[in-house]
Order: sequence, then structure tokens, then C-alpha cells
Amino acid sequence: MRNSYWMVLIGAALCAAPSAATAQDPAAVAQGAMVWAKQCTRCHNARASTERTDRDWFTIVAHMRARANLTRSQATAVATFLTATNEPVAAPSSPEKTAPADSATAAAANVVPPTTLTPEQRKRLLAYLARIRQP
Amino acid sequence: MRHHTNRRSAVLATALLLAWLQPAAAQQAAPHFPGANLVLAGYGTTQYSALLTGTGGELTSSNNFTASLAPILLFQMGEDLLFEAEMEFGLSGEATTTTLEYAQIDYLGFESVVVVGGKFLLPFGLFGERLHASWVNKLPNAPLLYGHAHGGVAEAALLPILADAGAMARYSRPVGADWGLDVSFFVTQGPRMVTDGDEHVDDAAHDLAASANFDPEHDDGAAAAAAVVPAVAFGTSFADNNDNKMLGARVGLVRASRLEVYVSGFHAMYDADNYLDFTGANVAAEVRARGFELRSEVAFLRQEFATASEYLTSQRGGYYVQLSRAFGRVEPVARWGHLLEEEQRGTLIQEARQRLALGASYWIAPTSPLKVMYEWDSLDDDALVVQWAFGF
Repeated sequence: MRNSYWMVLIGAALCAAPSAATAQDPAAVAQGAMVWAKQCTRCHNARASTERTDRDWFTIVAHMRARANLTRSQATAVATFLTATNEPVAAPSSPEKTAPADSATAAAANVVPPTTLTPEQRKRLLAYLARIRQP
Repeated sequence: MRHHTNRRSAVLATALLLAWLQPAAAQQAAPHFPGANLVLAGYGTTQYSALLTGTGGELTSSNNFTASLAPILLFQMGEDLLFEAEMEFGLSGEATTTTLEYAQIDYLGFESVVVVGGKFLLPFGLFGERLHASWVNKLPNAPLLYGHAHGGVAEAALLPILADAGAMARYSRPVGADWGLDVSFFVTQGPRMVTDGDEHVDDAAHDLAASANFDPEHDDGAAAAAAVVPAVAFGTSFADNNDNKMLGARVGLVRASRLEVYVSGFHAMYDADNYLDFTGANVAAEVRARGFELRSEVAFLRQEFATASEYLTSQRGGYYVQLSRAFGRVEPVARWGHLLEEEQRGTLIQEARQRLALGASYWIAPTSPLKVMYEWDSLDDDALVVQWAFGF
């Protein structure tokens, strides 16, 4: 009885261990935004994440991983960012109303630590986030 | 006894509650790629180009409209396996040209290593592997170092866009918060001497260099002065012409999006008898600061070749420098290219060549530039080119 009790307790504790990153976790999206800002614009302009579905972004990021010499973690972070920001924000029904906040996009814009991006990189990232929020 | 039982029950209930909550949290786990997926991507161009000759820049008869399309197929099977291929269709004279740029399988299951097999763009320098796509390249043509690969032979350039069949391993590792180390190794079929029956055969080169048999009693000193270095082709055949494989590597140091420095090289034997060496080296750098982007590559080739009486070595090289800066949607670009002259025993074999290109891109969309370029070439007519490129 005592052994069974501990086995259940340990098993439950293991199952309850939180995931390292979640698709809607602002910190994970922000981390992806940082990798995107530092790596993905080295060679080419960034395209709006709304151009592609989640499945397509996974495949395209895999294709780019080998080209850009990214690690698996970096590629996953970029895919997290792109799949979290590829839903266009709904247009406001009247000029007086503001568009509903997109938590992932806003989180990425606010959580990005200013000290790890250059002013140029931060400016480019915020301009990109503002552009993809437009319907 | 009752106290211990109550506390134990409370702990157990808490643990079971946490375990019950976990499935809900798992639905928000890291993004997971399901099954298989096929993506069509790629790029294309439409272009007008005109050659201008004489002191007045008169339009020659060579002014043309042309177009090209390079579809890219990406087929992902699960999270760790990707098949990717790119074709290029273009117009050349009265014919449509078709090239298999690459067709490769990537294994992505390791954290820091990607393993590649098939035909792939070689990690030699930067332009060929990463920057030659029409919507990425800031000018309508390639730098003077690189001609585009029509049949794998460089046309009026040092090298074609290098692609070959073999295997490659690419290692990458972040170093600190901002730096990264890239190392790529590859082994491929290697270059092959262009001989009779190939599209770009050069009869004089073939006569002089087709045979690697050394005849010390044959006095043919004059041939050395007029020696023609045989052309070599990359990635044009899946049948290796010898039992030698090309080995190459590239090492890169990257600081976020501010600085990149790469050193790369390769070595192979390119004739059927494994007598003749072909070696290349490249140093490439990119610097980005205050909105400016500076790119440069220096490349050298060393190629052994045989006349009827002796072995000689051709050494040639060149470099290019490109500067650009975006002002909103408009991005002016300047590129200078220089191919060094080549001598054999004091005789000039190949003149030096310089090329200055001034142009600008207007970014209609992030992946669609309208480019205008004017180019001065020391050995050719000036050129005016207008190109609309698009990536999809």
C-alpha cells in the first residue's frame, strides 16, 4: 500500500511537470520573435506570417533551417512565432473602437527585452508586427 | 493514525488533480508538426536587358525581354525529414533551358546537425547557396565571380553557382547570446573536365588537355604559352568520371544580424585518370550597421592541366564588394567586381576584368522587388537591365 501510494504520487508529479514552451506562451513567442529578428532577416526581407498556414510555416522553416544553419531549438522558436502571429486581427467595426488586442502579438512586442536587440532590429520587428496585424 | 491518513490522502488528491490538469496544458504544448505536408514555393523574373555600345551608349541589336521560373517543392514527412527540390526554367536563344538546381533529403532530427543527401547547393562562399534567388539578390545579375549554372559551367565568370550530388553535414552552435558557429562538410562527385559530346566543348582545350599522358621527349614549348585551360563542369552528371570525390568545408562565425565571416574550400581531381587537381578557396563577409549592408567575397581557384608535353597550373581569382541601404521601399545598390588577370610563363592568358553596377530596388512587396541597374564592364558592352522579381 505504501509503495503504491508513492508510485502514484511520483507518476502524478511527473505528469504535472509543465511544458518548456507553449504555442500561446508569450515568452515562447517572444523568444521566437528574437530569433526571427536576428536570423531570418540576414539574407532576405521578412514576409508576413499571415501568408501561410501553420502547417506550411513548419515546412518552410524546416527548409530554411539548413540554409541558415539554425539549431533545432532556434527553428522551433521561429515556427512558434510565425504560427502564433499568422491570424489577422479583425478590423474594428467603427472608427471609435480599437481592434481587439492580439495577446500573442502584443506579448511579443512588449516582452522582447530591449537589451538583446539593437535599435534597428527592434524597430524592424515592431514594424513587422504592426504590419501583420492589419487585416 | 487518522492524522497520517488524512495528510496522505490530501497529498494524493493534489497529485491526482495536477495529473488531471496536465492533458489541458498539453493541448498548449510546443507546436507539433502533424503528418506530411507539401508546399510549393519558389521565385521568378521578368526582365528587359539592353547592351549599349560606343561612346554615345548606342543601343545594340542585343536588347531582349526574357523570363524565368524556379519552382521549389518542399515535402515534409514528419518533423525530422524534409525533401526539397528546385527546378529552373529559363529562355536562352530559341530554347527553353531546364536545370535541376537541387534535389535533396534533409534529416533534421538532431539539435545541432542537419544531414543532407542528394544534389545540393554547395556551401562555398555565400552568394551561390543563399543569395542567388532573384527576390533575394539585390541586382538583376550575379556578381562577377559567379555565372549562373547553365550546364554547370561558368559563363564569363570564375565559377558557376555550385551544386553537386553527394552528402553533407551542417553543424551549428550558438556561442553566447549573440554569436554562432557554423561548420559544414561535404563530399560530392566533384567537377569533371568538359570533353567531346558535352554542350560547352572547346575544341582547342580538348585537343591540348584531353590526354594527360606525359611525353618528355616531345618539345612543345610553344603550346605552353598558348595553353588553354580546359573547362570544368559541376553537377552536370550523376555518373562520376573518376573514383575521386570532392571534399569541401565551410566555417562561419556569425554575430546575430550584424556580422558574418566565412572561410570555405574544396579539393578534387577532375580528369578521368585522377591526375589533375582542382582546388578552390573563398573568404566571404557581411557587415550590417546603421541600415547599411556590405557584402564581399574573395575566391581563388587552382587548376592543374596538361599539354602534350607537361603539366601546368592555372591560378585565377577575383572578388566583389556590394553596398546597399534601404530608404523605405527604395534600396540603392552598388557592386564592384574584379577578376584578376591570368598569366602562363609571362604570357597573358586572360585579361583582368572589372565590372561596376549601380542600381536600385523598389520593394513592391517584401518578396517582390522591381530592380533597375546600369552596368559598366571593362571587356563588354555596358548593360541596362530592368527586372521584376517575385518570390512565392
